[in-house]
Amino acid sequence: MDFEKEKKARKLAIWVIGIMTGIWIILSVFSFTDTKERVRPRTENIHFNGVSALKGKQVFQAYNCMDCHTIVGNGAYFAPDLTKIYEQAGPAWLKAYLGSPGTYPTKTIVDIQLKQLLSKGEDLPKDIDAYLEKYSGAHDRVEHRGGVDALMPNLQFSAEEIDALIAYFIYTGKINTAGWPPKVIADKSVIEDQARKLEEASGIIRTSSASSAPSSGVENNTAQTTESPAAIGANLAKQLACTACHSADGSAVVGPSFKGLFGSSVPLTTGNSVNADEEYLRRSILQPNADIVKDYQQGVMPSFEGSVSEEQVNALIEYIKSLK
Amino acid sequence: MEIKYPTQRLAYPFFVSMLILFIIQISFGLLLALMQMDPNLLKGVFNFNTARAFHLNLAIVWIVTGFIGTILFIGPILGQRDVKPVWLVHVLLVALWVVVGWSIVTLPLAQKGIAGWIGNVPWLQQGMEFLEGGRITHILLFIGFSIFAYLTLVMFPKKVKRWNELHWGLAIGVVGLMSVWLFTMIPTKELDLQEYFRWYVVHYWVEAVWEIIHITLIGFILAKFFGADDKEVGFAVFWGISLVVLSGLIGNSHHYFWIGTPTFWQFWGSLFSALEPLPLIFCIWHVYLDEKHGVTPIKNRAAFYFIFGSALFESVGAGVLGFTMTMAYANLWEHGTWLTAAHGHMALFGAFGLLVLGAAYEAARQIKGINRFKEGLAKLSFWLLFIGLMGIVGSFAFGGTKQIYVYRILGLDWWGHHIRPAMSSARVLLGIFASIFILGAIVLIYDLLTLKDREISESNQKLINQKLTSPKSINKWYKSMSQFEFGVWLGGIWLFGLIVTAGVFSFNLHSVRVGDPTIPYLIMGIGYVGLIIITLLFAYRFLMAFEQRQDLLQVIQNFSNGQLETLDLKQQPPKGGIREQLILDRFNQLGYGQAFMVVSDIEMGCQHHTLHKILGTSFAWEVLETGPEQWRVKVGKLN
Repeated sequence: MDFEKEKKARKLAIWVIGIMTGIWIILSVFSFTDTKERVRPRTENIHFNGVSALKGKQVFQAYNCMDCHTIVGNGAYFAPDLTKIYEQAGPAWLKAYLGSPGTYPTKTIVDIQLKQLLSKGEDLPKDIDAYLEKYSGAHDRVEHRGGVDALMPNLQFSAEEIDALIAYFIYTGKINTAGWPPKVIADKSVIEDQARKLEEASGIIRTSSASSAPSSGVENNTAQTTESPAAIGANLAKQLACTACHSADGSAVVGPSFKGLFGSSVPLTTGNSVNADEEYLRRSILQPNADIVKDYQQGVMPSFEGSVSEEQVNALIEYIKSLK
Repeated sequence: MEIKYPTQRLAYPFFVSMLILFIIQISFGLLLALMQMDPNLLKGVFNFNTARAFHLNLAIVWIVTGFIGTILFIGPILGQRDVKPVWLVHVLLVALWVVVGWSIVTLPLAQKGIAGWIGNVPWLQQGMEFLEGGRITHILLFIGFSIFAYLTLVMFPKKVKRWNELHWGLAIGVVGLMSVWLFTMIPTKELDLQEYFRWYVVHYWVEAVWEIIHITLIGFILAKFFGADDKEVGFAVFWGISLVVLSGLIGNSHHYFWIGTPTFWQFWGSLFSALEPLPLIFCIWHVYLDEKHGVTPIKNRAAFYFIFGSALFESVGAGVLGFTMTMAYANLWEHGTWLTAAHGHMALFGAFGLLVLGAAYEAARQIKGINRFKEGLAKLSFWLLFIGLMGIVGSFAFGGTKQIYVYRILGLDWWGHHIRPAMSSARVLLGIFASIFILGAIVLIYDLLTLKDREISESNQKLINQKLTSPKSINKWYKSMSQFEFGVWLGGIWLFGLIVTAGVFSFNLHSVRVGDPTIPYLIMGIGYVGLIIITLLFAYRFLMAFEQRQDLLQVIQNFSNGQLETLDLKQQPPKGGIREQLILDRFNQLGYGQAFMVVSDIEMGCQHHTLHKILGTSFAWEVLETGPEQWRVKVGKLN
């Protein structure tokens, strides 16, 4: 080994490392400096329903979403990438889903959420069909999986956390991911063909093609007048996705269970109790935030005012009464 | 090497802690594999994300614990002094378990969405992959890393001028481990910045600091095992580390392709991270060279299995598999799929895990005062871990390839239950190989903790040694590996690596993008299967040649001096190459595992040098007497 030569070579290597560190720092600073062409989206400037995306980032981290999902492709590959979820499914679907993530929302419930968002002045398509056309991800989810169980655990997000997450997904949608994930250019028929094969292989049935749980049209079902009101109510509870949050077997999911509810004394967050009579049940369906049951959160359940007829409310009450 | 400094024994509780953390960590891995098969398993009770947080964090913690054990064990020899103060070592051990206990309490808080936000600082846990702990964990770990760095540095010579490359390597390693960790504490308000700094910690650990520690430890251990020259090891360590930094510093930007940072990173990241395999090839090449340096049999072949495995998996897992997905137009498809997990498992456990397990074997042998032990269980565990890991990696690669097609090409999503069924066979394979892996780990832990039971008494060892006689013919598979052959094997591994790379790139083809996966399935199938097979064969071939060489060294060592014929050079002229020629002639008449004695009136360095030039490393050269009147050397023929 020529020691002089080796010494020189080593000195050179250390110099080169120094120069590369310089390049690294310059590129990094430039990366996070706004230019005319490129402005980084900021979480503090993006809000949904008055909650900032920064809060959403904190919620996203608090629940460690990244160790099941991926975000900008980083994470656990166990659940969907969420970077573009807002563009795909839109706020009404997200609000409906995040309220009870153990179940995929039905068209009806997305519609209810849409109406409430519209009444708050959000700039969204005026009716559910236009909404589903704009947000094709919501359309597909409602059509294929509406009302069936999702694999996600039923995390009990508060209303504020849900809004915060939606704000965060608005933010992540604005991130310029440089063309990732790559655009799908395969023909729809090819995709559909492969999708069917995979569904057959795993025995998955789409809700739109399954007769047991129709995902749209609350009216269709109430026409079955031959059934008892309680049975109609049971069917309705499924369609409206009531059962996504309220169990019939006494277990607490997102909201209190229906079992043994009627006639019981319900403790409220105010410290008072209220008797669960018909009037209470009706109020809880139409103005769910009027009384909040102890240990549960305000603002998670949407109001069904204007979404269900008087007859349907009665049917639901009969159904709840039947669960003793 | 045998225990020289009493404080070397302080390493033992760290190795035991490491093994406990290791088995817990991989049990979480098996749980995750089961959850992949049945996603409803424990849902709502112990969610997938929490299990994964444990799986990732414990992986980091047990490997770092292994580094601590290894450095405490070799540090006194390297620095020629005991570690002090001893109480601080105990504090470090307590701190380690405090962090683990605290993480067990805080990580599951994610299930309730509690991060302990005060302002923009998460005090309890922060839900960032690999760095899931909160600020309190960060501070505890920082204290631990600082103590570790301090303890390491006090063992080294006071005057920095007296440091050699190994001192520098470890010093950069332990200080780097501590400093890089600080980046986890930078509060960020945007995802792009969060990910930018998250990769500072993750990338600069595994692709810089840990690699620096890895190279230095391997260099040191092999120098001790095979008596390699300090200067040569120093050379390998300096250039190894330089190559790591030269490629890995800007190579970090392969994480900045799609996170909201500018597109120029695609150029820098692709170029420099494609160079990252260079130091890894350099490293395994030196492992090969060092192994041939040994002229007396080593006492712990099992430890060398693990260390070789570490260098091999670093080359294949970090080097080859990293390369297949690092360039922007391959990464575009691979990013966010199981292919990343294939690379991650082999690189992390393969490179760093196997190294500290190998070090644990040597430390346990010395600390328990064992001369030789029965290595059957150790080698069995090695091959079980090896095959388990290969299978885990293969399963991820197989599942990931299908995932790219269904998720990226067809644009189908998880909610539609399309991706899960497409990957279902891969998940079953994953479970099977994860079980084999765990079995290997259980054997290893049992073996290490009860190593004393497998001690071979001196008289038994003598009997075993005497049974070894020189083999008449040498099996092709056991023959010594020439540099050329070694190069061909590495070339073969890279060939299959390039095939996989081509397969990942082929997702860009129009025909694939419109829905026909035949080309990538075919190319990646050949590539991955070939890569796994050639890596297995190569490891087997290399280790069997190593065993054969060690056996022959033992056979030659067995000859008592009286048994050997003597070649007396005293009467021969010392110059003109006559003495060299005589030795060479005599050598050429030897069969494998035979030897003769050379006696000379002057030092025989010249003869050794000449023989080395002609015969390479195929001869044993055991110096028995060094003057002043006569020099005696035992020369034997190796394969």
